[in-house]
Amino acid sequence: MDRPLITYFQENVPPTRSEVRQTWGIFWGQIKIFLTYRTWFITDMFNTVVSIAVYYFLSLQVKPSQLAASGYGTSYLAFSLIGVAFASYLWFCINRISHSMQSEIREGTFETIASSPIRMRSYLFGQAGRGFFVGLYYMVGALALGVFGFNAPLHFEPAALFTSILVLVFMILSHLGLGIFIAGIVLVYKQADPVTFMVSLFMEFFAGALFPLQLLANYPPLAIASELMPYTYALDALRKSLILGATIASSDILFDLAILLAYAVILLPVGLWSFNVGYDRIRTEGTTSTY
Amino acid sequence: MAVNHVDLLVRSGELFGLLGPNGAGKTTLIKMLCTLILPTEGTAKVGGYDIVREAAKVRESIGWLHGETGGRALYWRLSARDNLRFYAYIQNVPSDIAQKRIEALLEFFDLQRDADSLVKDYSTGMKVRVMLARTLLPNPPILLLDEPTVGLDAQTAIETRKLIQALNKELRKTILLTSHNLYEVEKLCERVAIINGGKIAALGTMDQLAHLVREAKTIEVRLDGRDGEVAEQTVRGLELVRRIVSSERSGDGWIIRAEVSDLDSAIPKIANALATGTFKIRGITEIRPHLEEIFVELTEGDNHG
Repeated sequence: MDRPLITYFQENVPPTRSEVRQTWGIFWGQIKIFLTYRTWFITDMFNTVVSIAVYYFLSLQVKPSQLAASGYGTSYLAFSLIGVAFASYLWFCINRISHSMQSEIREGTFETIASSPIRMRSYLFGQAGRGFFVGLYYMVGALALGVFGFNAPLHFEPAALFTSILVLVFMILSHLGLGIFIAGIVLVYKQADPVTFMVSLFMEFFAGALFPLQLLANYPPLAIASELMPYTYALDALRKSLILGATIASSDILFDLAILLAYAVILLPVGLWSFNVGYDRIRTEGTTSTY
Repeated sequence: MAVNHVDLLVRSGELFGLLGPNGAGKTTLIKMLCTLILPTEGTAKVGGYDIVREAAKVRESIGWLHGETGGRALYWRLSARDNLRFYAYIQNVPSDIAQKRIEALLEFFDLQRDADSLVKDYSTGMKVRVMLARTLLPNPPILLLDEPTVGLDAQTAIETRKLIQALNKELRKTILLTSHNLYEVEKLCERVAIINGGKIAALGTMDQLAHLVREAKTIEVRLDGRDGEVAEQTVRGLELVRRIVSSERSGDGWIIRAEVSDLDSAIPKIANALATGTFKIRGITEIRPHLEEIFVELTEGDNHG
């Protein structure tokens, strides 16, 4: 060593208090960890191929006239591909925050985070960023496979693509609070799988990932539940832009975006608040780790 | 209740030892100071900041090492270098400073060769070294070192103790140290608190603690020659000598240990009494009980593991 270790600590350097840098740090670390799981990565890709093949088979059984009534074109493959690809993406992202939390509490790394000066919301946004980024890879892979491997008729013109990306951002914002809320449950109960499974099931079913929502018209409680799901509006806008080529200029898309924004404004503070309640509770109970 | 009405003051710049049997409340106390556990009543301040109301300031002031976890609190799927880079981000260490410190710490803790291997492949000792490096990286004024040398090989443990001393003496870092290695605490710490059943059982310097467990003081007399029995009789005859603890040959000399009622007058009186004979005195010293004896005496019967 050129100079004694102690000399590296003699200078009094002011800390860099940046929440963006903290969020980036969590995101960077989580991505590096993700890249070490090669087997998992390959298995997930295999699952994507298999599930799209299944939807392709289903699309052969559904008559175009049945689907046309829903207003999303006549290709069931395109219809279900968007429904499932984006639902899986969303589920992956929501699940990611709570799963990370669960494993960090079990491994003891959460205590390292909680005893550091990082803001909890920076930590959560960093974790969520990792989920949304990695999930994006699978979602784009699934869409590409559907389009190039099974000829799903989707619109990728710049205006439609831009619109769908915008809808995606709004969809993420509207569901982030939900993911953080579930993470708060994990903090206290150390388990989240039943909750996330239920959320993903409800999300896929009530938003009509695999069937047109008109089918629920005969079941008013289910139809109301469907209208309360933010994913319903995200899916409607995504299908309209990617299947029909609708753009941001469409009033339907603008309406969906407004609803998603409203959900974001309501759910994000609620999620952060409930997470903080859970965080204070485990600090009172002394269960910030379970190893 | 893991910690119950603990009243403790660690002075700024002090190297303070916290001892206690397993389950005594040491880690709970440290986790409270780290803001990981909220007290149900009472208050605590770290670096002048309240652990509940000013938690963010407290977290910026401390470096916490939980050595007993054997490296569990690291990201095992990151390398040592990436663990430290990650920690620099969340501890607000500027990147250029972090870079220099990380390389210096990796070298000091002999981790450079494996710095880019995943931590999951490290030995326990290596993981503890990464944790130590991580604790020091942000250069906080207060260090909470919970078992800092557990799992380390002898050489690294010695170097780490020297580093802890240097951090305290040269950089005036306030250090709260817990260890099951009583030798380590005795060697490093100026004052020690013994916690038992969630309460402070004793607190003070080593001398003060020694007096707590031993009413009478013990004097050790070392003599030249082998006629120790006669000297023993002389010492035994003195009024302030309560009893002879031991009297035995040691190499070409003799050692007598005696319990006395008054330490201050005992040494000159014993020296005078022996000087009248033909004894050649090598030395007369007070025997202080080791921390281990003090610890056992103060916590006896309460160590439930």
